[in-house]
Amino acid sequence: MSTETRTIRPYTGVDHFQAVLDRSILAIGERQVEGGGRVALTVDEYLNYPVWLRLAGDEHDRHENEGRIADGLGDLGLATSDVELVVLASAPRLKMVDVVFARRLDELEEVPASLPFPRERPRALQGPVGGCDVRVYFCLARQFQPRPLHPWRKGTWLGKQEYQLRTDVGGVGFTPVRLTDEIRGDLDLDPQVTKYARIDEGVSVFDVDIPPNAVEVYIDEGLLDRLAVAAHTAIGKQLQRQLFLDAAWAIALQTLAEVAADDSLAHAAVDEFRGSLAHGLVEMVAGRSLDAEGVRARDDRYRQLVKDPARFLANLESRLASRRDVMDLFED
Amino acid sequence: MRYPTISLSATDDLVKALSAGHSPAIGPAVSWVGAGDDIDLAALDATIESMKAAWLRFLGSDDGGKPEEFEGIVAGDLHLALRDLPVETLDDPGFWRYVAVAKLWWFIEDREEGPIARGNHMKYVDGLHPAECVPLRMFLRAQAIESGDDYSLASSMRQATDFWRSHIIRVRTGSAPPLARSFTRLQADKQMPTSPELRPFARRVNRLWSNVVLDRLDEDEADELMNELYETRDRSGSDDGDEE
Repeated sequence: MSTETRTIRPYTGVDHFQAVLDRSILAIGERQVEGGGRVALTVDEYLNYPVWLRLAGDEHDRHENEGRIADGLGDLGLATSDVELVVLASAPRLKMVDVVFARRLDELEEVPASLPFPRERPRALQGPVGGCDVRVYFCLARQFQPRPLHPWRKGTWLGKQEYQLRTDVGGVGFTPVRLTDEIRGDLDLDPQVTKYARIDEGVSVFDVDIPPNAVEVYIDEGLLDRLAVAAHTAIGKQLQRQLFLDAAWAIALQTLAEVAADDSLAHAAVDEFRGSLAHGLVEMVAGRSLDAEGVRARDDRYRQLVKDPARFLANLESRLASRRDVMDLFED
Repeated sequence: MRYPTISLSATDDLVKALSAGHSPAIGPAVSWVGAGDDIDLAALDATIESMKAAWLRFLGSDDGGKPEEFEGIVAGDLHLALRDLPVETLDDPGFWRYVAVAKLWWFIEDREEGPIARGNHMKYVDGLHPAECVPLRMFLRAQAIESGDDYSLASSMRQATDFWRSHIIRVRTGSAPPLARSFTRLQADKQMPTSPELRPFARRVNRLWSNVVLDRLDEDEADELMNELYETRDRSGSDDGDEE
């Protein structure tokens, strides 16, 4: 029986910091992305439009943010010099991370209403194929002596928000791989197999940083060609949904295997693995809300995934298509 | 800036021909992307030539080294030749296919001889799999541990393919050089066996990322963290250990 203790952020006061970032918005020109959101931009927008983080819509909001931060510092027993506001821009494929902004709170004259990105764009915003993840944190600026129920490690975040910027050339999600006879042989698949999904070897579905192409979805090359010209027909859409479900099944099955190997995973809070494949699957059913109800809903769905995966996946499928969508298959 | 790329389908055709022992013309398959002046690849060409010479010396050495060791030895040279190219170029998988097929095939065909013989060659050359595509994974390995022009950590371990692929390049640690360098130094020194020690250890590092902005650690702080995790590691094969 495992005795591992995993952090579930039991700190009083962090809600205040999170509340500031829950209201934040990332703006790219006229486009706006809410926290936890993903936006598909044109290449022009991605490479050229001004980007800024909006922490407050007006002076009233900004003043409220200052109050929340003061409350958070008070509850945690921290000084303004103990916490920094950090904005990072990350190119997930090229592993390039640039610090867009990093200041201790005591170095700020006031909590800013907005933070414009510098004219020299971070490297992630110079490469439209791989995309850019913007992460915003309030985090500890220094190390403390470990104390129960208190954050102490330098870098521990008290509030966090993420935005994913992508372009149509980069795409979102998995890219189908052509399934040829050679690859069937290599993967030990029977000759009539038309599609197959798997998690890339060595990848854990609980890793919080998903490697690109971590989910490999193979589809027969002839079928893929047919799909390409019929993607918008009812049957084409159904096949795409099925490919997605195949990928979801692969993630679910590996989740069960990893839980079986480490039983502490079954009892963990799923938000501990935010960013992982397992967490992403749960989010699709339970949503991304960061309030207590949202956290509880994700934990409930995660338990369902672990204990009753078929039911979980049936619920997931219902998010992909309504009963009407499925009935429409018979209309073509 | 214009830079060379090769499409996925052309790459597949070229690699099939190359691995069958033919010498297909690569030039017609190259598409130049972008506008303005052509990118200057003189540094890359010079590096490739010196890598080829080093490869011949490596093969002839008494050590009888393996291709995976050579990959670490020259990863820094490749990074040095590419690191100042525009991000737009490095971001394009088509450029990495060009580097793989037009510049580095002589090494890739030996390095991934087994999969290539089975027809499973694309992920080593397609530019889409950063932890697999040979030139891109070499670039990312070197980028993760570069310190000025010092890349010695990239070759600090023999037979460490799994370490680099699973515990550095594939995970967020690969984007935090102080942490990646510290982890590499620790593993080079301690040589934790993959199982039961290294994998659970690396899993603890990965899980810390979900609560701690490890990008904010400097070299000393990263060393302190690694030592702390090492001293409290579990050797039973589980990933037990209190992270906070």
